[in-house]
Amino acid sequence: MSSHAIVARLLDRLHQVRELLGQELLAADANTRFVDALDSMGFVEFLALVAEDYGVPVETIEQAAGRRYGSVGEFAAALDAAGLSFGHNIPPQARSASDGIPASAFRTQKASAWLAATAAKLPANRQPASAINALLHRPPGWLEEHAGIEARYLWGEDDPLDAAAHTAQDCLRQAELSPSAVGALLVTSEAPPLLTGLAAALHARLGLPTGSAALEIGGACTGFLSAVWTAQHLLSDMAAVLVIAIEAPSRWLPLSPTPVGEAAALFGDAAAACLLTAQSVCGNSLYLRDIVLGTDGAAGPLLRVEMAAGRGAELHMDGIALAHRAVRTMAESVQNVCTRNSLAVDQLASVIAHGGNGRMPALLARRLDLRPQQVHSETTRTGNLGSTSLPVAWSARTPSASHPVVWAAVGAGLQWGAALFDART
Amino acid sequence: MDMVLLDWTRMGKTYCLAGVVRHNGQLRVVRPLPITGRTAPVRNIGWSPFLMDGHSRWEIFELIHPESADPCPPHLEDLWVRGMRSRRIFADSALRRAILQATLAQPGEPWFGAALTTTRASAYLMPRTGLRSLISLVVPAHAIQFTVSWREGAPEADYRVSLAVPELQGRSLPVKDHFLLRRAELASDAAEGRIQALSFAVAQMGEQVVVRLGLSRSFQSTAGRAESVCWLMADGFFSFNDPQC
Repeated sequence: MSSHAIVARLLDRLHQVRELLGQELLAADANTRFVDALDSMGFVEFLALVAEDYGVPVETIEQAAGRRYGSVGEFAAALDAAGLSFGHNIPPQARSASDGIPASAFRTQKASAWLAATAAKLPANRQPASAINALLHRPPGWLEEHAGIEARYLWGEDDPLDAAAHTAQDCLRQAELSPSAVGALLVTSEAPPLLTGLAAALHARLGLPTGSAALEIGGACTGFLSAVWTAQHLLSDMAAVLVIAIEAPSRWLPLSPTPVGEAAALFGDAAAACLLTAQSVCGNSLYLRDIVLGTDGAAGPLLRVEMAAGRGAELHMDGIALAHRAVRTMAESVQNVCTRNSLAVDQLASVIAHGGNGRMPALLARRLDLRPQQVHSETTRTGNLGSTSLPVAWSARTPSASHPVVWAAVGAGLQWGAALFDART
Repeated sequence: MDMVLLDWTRMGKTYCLAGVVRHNGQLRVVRPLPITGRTAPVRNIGWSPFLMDGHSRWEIFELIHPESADPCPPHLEDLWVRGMRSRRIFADSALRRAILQATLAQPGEPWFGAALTTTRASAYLMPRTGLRSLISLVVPAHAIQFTVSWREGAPEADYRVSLAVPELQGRSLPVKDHFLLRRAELASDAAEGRIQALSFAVAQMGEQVVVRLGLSRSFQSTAGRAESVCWLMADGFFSFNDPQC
């Protein structure tokens, strides 16, 4: 990092501390003296931030500066002379041995997040709509016409946890990171294959360090975005966060020729993962420019899950009202995240959309005045994949360098969200 | 009213003092403030070095015309006085130990009666919250680590201490203990030398050290500056077994 860039980073930190302490912004530059910019308490906060940036203890920073602090420029020069470079706590041994991406590639951007890799896996067992229609005692073509769904995939005898772990390992391979680089594992699931300890079980299968956290994130079909939102915040303190979405509705929602059984037919099994990093680690990393989440608990009765008398659960929904609300809410989320970033919706290369049913992506495209091909979803091919729908759709699309893109979802609660990814540096 | 002087900290060019009085048979911590500052918008009113230099901690002072101050949490120990007159005697060892024991933080309770907010490097209490502004902790000597640095142009060095206790998790507190700082200043002009002197002084206190923790005064908000919080500070260091000056 150039001396100019170090000064810029230090000034950024200085402003951050002044803001934290409720002090007005200061016209500061390389010649600004710390004694004029920060009091004793502010200065200790400043040193802690700088130490975080470099991934070293404060004492190392103090020694590099000789425990004397004149101007910002002098401090930057001292850090540079000491051979320190911005890093983010990834020890060299955490890197995979295969490739030589230099440790400097892990220079951090405060509160920034990069989508480094995505992977998805569908079960091998495909259940076509014709089979579903038969189970529902419906005529041929009913599910396709009614819900725009041609098939779904079921875990059957497959182990969903193995599949989920496989997707996460795939992400690490793509980013050439070892499990020891992962600071936290976030797992989301609307229909979990394991009632308790899901995140811990996946943590174990991935061989993550025992010191890395494993958290379960709610949010139903918005769970993936909720996890990405959480990851973005965690990345101010760690280098990499794994997000896993895993759905096994076939274990919970039995099909039957009833309204409840027909609602169950909309849902398919899947697993997916993504790796978010504090810095771009590979050429196709996408920058998470912004993410918005929203909640309206008053609309919760539109979709309810209740325990069934016999086995599993029952899903009750006000289908038409829910679909209408879902499309409108997703469209507003996309527009919101674009507006926040001074973008027009027509500047988006594509929208990756959650599909409650197979018709929603096209309705979303129409509402956003986008071409249908610009809204990606796999729902027609797979059914409603819950929290996995976004990474599954992203993984299934034809790779493209076009950007920016928005991922949008809405789920039970109601909860919704949209994430804007771009390819900026 | 007699007060055993316990905390003697630096506050700019003046000293902030606190001590212990007997009240209804109990030992009670008070912060005597010169009544001349009664109309000041904020009670960051110190005692002049001209009045205090030459005296010492554990010295017993008569508080002249003490008057309770309006409650200003967390600094509920405030007491207006017209002056302090030394009795020219010191608290004996038994009383010193009793005072340190009586001021220890209660296990399982917030130190200051309200939860501290932590920042990356430090901790604070919001003004107008809490039940007290001074407490004592017993800390193993090896869990105390000092640093010293200079912001060039500042009137004095920044002295900080990390206490490896679960509640603080290595956060760095400003050291305001006048006696410890003076010892470091006399020992060396260099930062490393002062760190050594501070560490040596604490090591001499034995395995168990009583660290007096206090909360700074907040100051009023002004243009471009919000009201300050009450920062956690290290106000004093004493041997637990043999509390000397």
